[in-house]
Amino acid sequence: MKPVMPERVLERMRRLLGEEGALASGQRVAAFPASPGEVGAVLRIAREEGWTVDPRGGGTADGEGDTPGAGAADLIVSSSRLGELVEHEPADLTFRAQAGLTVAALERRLAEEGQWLALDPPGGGRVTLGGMVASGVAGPLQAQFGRPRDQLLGVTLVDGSGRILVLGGRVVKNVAGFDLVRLVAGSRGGLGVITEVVFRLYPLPGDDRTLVWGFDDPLEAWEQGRALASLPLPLAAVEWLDGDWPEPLDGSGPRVLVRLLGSEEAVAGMRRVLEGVAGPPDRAWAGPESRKVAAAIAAGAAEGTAILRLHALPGEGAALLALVDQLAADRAALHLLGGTLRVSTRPAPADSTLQSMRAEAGRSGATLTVVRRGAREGGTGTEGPKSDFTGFSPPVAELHRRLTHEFDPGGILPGSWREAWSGEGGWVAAGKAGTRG
Amino acid sequence: MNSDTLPPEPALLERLRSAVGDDGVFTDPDRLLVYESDGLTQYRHPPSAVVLPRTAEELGRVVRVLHEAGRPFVGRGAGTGLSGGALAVRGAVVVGTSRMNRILELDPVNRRARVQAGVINAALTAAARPYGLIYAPDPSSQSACTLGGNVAENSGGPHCLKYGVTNRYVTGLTVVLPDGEIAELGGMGREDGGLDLVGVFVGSEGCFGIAAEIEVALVPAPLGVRTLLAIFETPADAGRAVTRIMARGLLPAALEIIDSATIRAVEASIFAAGYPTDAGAALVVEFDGVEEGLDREIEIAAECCSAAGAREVRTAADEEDRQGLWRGRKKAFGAMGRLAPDLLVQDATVPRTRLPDVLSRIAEIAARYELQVANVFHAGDGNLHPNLLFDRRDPDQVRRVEAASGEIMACCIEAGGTITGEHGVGLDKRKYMPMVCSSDVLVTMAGVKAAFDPWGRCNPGKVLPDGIGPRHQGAGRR
Ligand SMILES: Cc1cc2nc3c(=O)[nH]c(=O)nc-3n(C[C@H](O)[C@H](O)[C@H](O)COP(=O)(O)OP(=O)(O)OC[C@H]3O[C@@H](n4cnc5c(N)ncnc54)[C@H](O)[C@@H]3O)c2cc1C
Ligand SMILES: Cc1cc2nc3c(=O)[nH]c(=O)nc-3n(C[C@H](O)[C@H](O)[C@H](O)COP(=O)(O)OP(=O)(O)OC[C@H]3O[C@@H](n4cnc5c(N)ncnc54)[C@H](O)[C@@H]3O)c2cc1C
Repeated sequence: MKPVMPERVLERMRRLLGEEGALASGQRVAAFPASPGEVGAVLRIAREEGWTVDPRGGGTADGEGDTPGAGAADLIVSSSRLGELVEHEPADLTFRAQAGLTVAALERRLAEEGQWLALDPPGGGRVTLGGMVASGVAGPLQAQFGRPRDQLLGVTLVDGSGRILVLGGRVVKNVAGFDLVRLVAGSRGGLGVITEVVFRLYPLPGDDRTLVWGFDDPLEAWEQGRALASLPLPLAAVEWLDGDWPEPLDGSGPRVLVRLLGSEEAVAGMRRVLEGVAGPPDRAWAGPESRKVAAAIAAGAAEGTAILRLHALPGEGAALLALVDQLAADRAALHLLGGTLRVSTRPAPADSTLQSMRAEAGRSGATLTVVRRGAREGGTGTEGPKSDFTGFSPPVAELHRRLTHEFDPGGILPGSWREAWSGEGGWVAAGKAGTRG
Repeated sequence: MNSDTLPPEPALLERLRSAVGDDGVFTDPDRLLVYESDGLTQYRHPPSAVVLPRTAEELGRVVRVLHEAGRPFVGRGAGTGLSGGALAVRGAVVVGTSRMNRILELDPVNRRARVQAGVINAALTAAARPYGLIYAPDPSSQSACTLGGNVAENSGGPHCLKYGVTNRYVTGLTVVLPDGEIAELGGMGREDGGLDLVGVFVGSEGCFGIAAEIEVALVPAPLGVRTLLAIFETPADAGRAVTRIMARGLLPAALEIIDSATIRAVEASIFAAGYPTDAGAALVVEFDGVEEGLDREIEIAAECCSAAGAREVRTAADEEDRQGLWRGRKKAFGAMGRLAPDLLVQDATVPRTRLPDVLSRIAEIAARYELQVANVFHAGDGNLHPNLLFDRRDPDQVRRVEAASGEIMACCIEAGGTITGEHGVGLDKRKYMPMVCSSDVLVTMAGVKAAFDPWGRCNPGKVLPDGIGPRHQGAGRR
């Protein structure tokens, strides 16, 4: 169902947020609130009007904004006017920032103090703190630092009824009540709009090195990479890559990257052990160059027409490689300690290919998620499904229904409407979504 | 027996026995006494009965029977909790995991283990060691506490400064929901695209259901370790040394402080570790990782300690020496037992830079109430344990302990901290919850609890203050 009166909603939003605070695009509206209070008011209007809402950060999950998710909700609530670094306490190694601040801009500020947020989510320069937390994604550094949830200390959420919930705190250990911070991380906008986050930080390591070994055969690369990943060393990242990657990662073909962080002595020590197993690397980058490699992986991953994500136990990654063999992938990256494979392909795969891959994945206990669907031959790229879930068991589905209802009783947020839109992938049974009839 | 202890009727007992066998159910007051408190002994309350299942299936059947009988229940591991969380109030039956102590799977390839919830924390690391792996979270109670209790409390430990707490390592759970239904949450290598139910179950203090099986990530055992002990005139000096070490960009595996009262208690006990009894505070610093660079790191840490006024710095020469340096810290709680009949183990976190300031305020509060306070704490995390010594037979002391605790909590919150860093809210800290959560947040927590337990029968009377309920009454019910 299309919203009945975009003009009225636009008008109400503009009265609240100013002329610049809301835009119309066809039957849909985008709102740009600048405070948690404004976000709350926007969500209350949406609920009154029976409009579905999709929170939006950098929009990297949607390609350039013209592929699937972009057109799916009636109202986009953007975090682009919530971009402040509110507080940075270097001695405490924590910061508090608004959700629309990009990870890249934040890292530049932190580096001046010799600190960093030890996360490298895929998506490149536009990825926001809120988008990263909401999607729960992590890049190669997850080997040592985990996912955003593992570094997140607090979050401010405006829920589907417009309540402002300040959750967690700014200390690294906190068990005062149920852990709603973990519930919000990875909720993909389904519980509300994140307006602020608090993270723990680390001092920049004394040494930062990335080593790379090239191979002729993807499987051989995988086996060597797993051998390195299985060493009893605190490796910051162990990544298998295939395809053409941007500068400074020149050349193409299968390779294994290892990133080492720590004191100079520790990094040199780890390097000696790695070389004992794999021989001298084909190339090595140090300091800022090593950071550039990490950025190239994050940004390069975002350039595909379609992006697929496959997941299995780390030791079973070879099965994932076999699965994507049938795709003409431009780029592929596999976390050798985490078991996640991301593939960018151009052109987008046919539905039948996806279906057979999904069935195949299911048989080997792996999961396949379509992060970005991309335009297909004869299609516009705007039809779903964007993502696909393997389905919940009945008690887990019931938990999702109840939890979603607690945060979003009006059924306006993506946890409620996503399924009704794509036919799969939502948390809540179709038919309940939205209140407009 | 307390008024809300309610022995189960014979028919219910019969059904419980048929679920777990005759030896797995008991109601005789003598045996129930063991379950009347946890590690926070000022709260005592015997359960109505105790049931001990052996498997997830048996646990599911037990909870189903209790659910059908409308009987509240509470999961219990080793009973080392320090917030009264495992107490069975309001007629509750204890469902204990002491017979669920099997390690189900050890998978070194994927650095993963799957255990029954009653497995002891240290037993898991012992089983993983032969593969060069460890389970990282190491509460000081690790030789007794269970993984199920760790999951419920999101427990930490000395090495969590570098490695992170329980929620970092739990990858999957088999839980029995409050109606007896068994649900698989998460699982390494699996993704369902839904909410992080594992993440929210960890730290739920037994209020969302009972964990039957737990899947955790293991990490490689560090190849090298270096430990130093620095002696200071005051805890504030030790706190400043901690700030200096962190400012040098180092990430120690552990940074632990014990104060003079604790040192004296330890040295007077059978655990004597050779700490000077006239010291104001002792700081244990540990680095781990690959061998290379550790000597340099410990050297820098020693410099930081000296610069902050340490009068003595000892570095462990070998493993035996290292155990010796740690002994004073590890046996602190045990030794305090001899200082007074009762000990209120407190727990709060403050931003690390506020430590010196908060410590002096705590000393001032204790002095004002004429109470002795003994501090042992995870300084790197800003996680304080200002323990109050008293005699619970003296109502006036009890009243003063109560009042001083409230002021200490207020002081930590004012410094930007929180009311508990690792021991949980349980029974003990419910009253402080409104100091750290808005009423909207409390009501939302009640709503999340109701999503798991619409009947309010799973560990009733814990975490949330009385009078706080979900805003959608009955919304969760089908
Ligand atoms: C190569 C590649 C791989 C990716 N892999 C994954 C993946 O494995 N899993 C995955 O989920 N995503 C994946 N993504 C998409 C990922 O969500 C983004 O790249 C990025 O982390 C999100 O940042 P963003 O600011 O661009 O958010 P957006 O793209 O704008 O939004 C991402 C999601 O977060 C929500 N969101 C954004 N901001 C907020 C907020 N303030 N409050 C509440 N919700 C908000 C949105 O509703 C949306 O669901 C991938 C992207 C790329 C390019
Ligand atoms: C000397 C001493 C030192 C300690 N040091 C530390 C420390 O360094 N760090 C730290 O964090 N804590 C510490 N503690 C506190 C305590 O050991 C931890 O909270 C521990 O995790 C409790 O485990 P348990 O098995 O004893 O749980 P119990 O005390 O039996 O129960 C604690 C809570 O967990 C729930 N529970 C138990 N099993 C399950 C299950 N299977 N499913 C769901 N809920 C369950 C109970 O209902 C209760 O609410 C210490 C305690 C002592 C006595």
